[in-house]
Amino acid sequence: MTSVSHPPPDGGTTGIPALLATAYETLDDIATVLYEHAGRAGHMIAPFMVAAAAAADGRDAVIVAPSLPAAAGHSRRGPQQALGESSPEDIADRLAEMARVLSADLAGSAGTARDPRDRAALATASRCAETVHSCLAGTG
Amino acid sequence: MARRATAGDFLQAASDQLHLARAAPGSPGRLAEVTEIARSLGQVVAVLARYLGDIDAAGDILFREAPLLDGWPRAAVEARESLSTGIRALGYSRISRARPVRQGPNHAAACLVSAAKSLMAARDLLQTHFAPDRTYASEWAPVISSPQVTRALAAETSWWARQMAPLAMSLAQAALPRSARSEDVSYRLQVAGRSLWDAAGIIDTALLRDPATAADLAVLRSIPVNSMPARVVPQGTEPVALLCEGTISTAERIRQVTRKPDPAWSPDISETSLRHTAGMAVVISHNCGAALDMLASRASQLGLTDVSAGLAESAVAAYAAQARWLDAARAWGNPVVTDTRGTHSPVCREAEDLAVWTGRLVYRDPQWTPAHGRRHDLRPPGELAGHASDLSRAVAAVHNVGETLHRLAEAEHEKVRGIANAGRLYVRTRSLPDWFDIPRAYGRAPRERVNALLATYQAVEHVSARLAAALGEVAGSARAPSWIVAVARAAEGRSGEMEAIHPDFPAALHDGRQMRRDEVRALYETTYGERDSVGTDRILTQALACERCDPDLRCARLGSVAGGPAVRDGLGPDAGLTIEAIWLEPEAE
Repeated sequence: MTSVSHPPPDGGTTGIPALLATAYETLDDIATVLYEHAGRAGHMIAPFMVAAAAAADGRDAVIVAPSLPAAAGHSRRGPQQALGESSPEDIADRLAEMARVLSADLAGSAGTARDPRDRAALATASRCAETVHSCLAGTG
Repeated sequence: MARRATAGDFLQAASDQLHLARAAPGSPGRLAEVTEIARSLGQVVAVLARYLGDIDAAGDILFREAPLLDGWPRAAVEARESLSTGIRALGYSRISRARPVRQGPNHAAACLVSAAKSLMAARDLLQTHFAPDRTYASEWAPVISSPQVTRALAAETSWWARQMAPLAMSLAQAALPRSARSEDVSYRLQVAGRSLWDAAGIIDTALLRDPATAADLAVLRSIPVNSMPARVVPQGTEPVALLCEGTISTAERIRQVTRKPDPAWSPDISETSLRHTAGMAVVISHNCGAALDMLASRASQLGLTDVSAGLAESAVAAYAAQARWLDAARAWGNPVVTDTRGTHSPVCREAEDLAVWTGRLVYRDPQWTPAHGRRHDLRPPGELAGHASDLSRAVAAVHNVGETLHRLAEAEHEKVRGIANAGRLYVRTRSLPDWFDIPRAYGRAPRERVNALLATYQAVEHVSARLAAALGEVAGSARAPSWIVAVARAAEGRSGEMEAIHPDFPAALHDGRQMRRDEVRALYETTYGERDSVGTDRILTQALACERCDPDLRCARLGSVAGGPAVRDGLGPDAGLTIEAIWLEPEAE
């Protein structure tokens, strides 16, 4: 999961907690970046808005997971700085790829969580990430 | 898509029937025929009296109170009294109990009965816009109560009275075999005729002071029945004309859905729903701006310079609305959350539909959806509006969208104010700096954040109002059929002209950029001033009263409404968060 956007938060958590933390931070970042750049997205504003809402929904699904580490979301840096003044197409491509990887990882791990609430959160977040990918990649 | 019936449809049908009645061949030669026609006349007069009773609730005012009144209420009460005399005359037992002649109903009588039914249907149609307690049930109710429609209704009533009076008089002079009964019927018809003349005279005198114009009558005839247009989803094969119709119909649905606000405790009001609705409003505003740009270009090609300038100005307003709706979408999540999430309100779903309709109107792809909107070409302006008539049709569609965005902004602002009053706004303690040690996931939203949220929605409402006003002006100059929507807007007490910019409003309000925190604060101060926007007891009391009906809901909500420990989603009380600490957090709102 470290390939997505963030390393697992400090604290030594691994497995499902780390995955939830990464999902939370990645989806939160995707939503933040999309909302920040939507004003300059031109005619791509529609997929930006739908994808941003889906990312926020996914983040909200993860936040109620019992295994989400309390430290998740603290003291992190978002990807906004790295994106800088990229074009809407570039931003869409990069975030779509992030969402695709995240969705695949979440879908693969959803069945392994013991707590049904964790499983539900992972499954919902995976679906939301897939929606983000399909909107931004233009395959929706 | 079926067109909704309007008052004009029924008034026209009634008028046609009246002409048929007057053109009926020959005069009645038998008393039975005369009484049958007189009875039909009585039905028409009774409906006219009801119309007058609706003017300023004149039906509830006694005739002896008329001298205390002035203007239309007085004229309506006096004219209604005259018509009552006619009703009493024509409702006399020998007339009202008359049975149809054996050879079948008299043609004139049948036409008058049909006319009375059509007039009654028109009145019933107007009444659908009012609740049983006479409160407004639609955006058209204030139009019906407006001086414009009052004058038009009075003028219609006067016209009908003038048409009925000679009919009654000629019936009274019909050559009938002399008998006590025929003389009695003749006398009563004369009384009815005179009362109709009197009523027409009273109304015409009032109309001299406050004349009805052709525009007033057009407004009356354009009022549609208060019914929800059926939900229609575009199939991808619609020509532009049908896309315009679908856009208008969906826009009307949203205006109707937002008419009755959700109570503050409704679980449908959630950050998910508010964020999605704001997101769809961003898309709709953008599509609206793109359509206006295209129409401005087309109007310029057609030589309609003034219209083109108005459309270009409206496009700027649409993009400003887009920027402010985007602020509203951003406002949910990290800065503020609600105590429920995951729900999608009916308004949210309707907004998604409108985003699709407007997108299909603007983009060439017949399968366009917001989620499938990457790399799509705009329609050529000539395809959207080939001729001047097509231009006005497209302007009507966009005008409806603009009005709907304003209505949506008002409704969403009201919702946010409601949930703020009910204490349903929270912050995630997770989003606070590490050195906060708060053992709960959420804390109550501090006042500054609530104020910032309210200011954001106030900005949305303001720019959406400007867009609607600008489009109303364009609709008038382009002679778009949606001009009636602008009339409704003015009658509802909302400005029919361009909203003025408050001198203390931040300049960024109408820019495309995101507003800074100090600008949002300034907007809040200007809008709400010293008033306490949060903490109105009425809504809180209502929420608690409603929850008494549902013990489970009460348990879930007591924590967030009354300040005790919450159980839903693990929400807790404010846990010692201070306002200063909240403002110290690094992330931007």
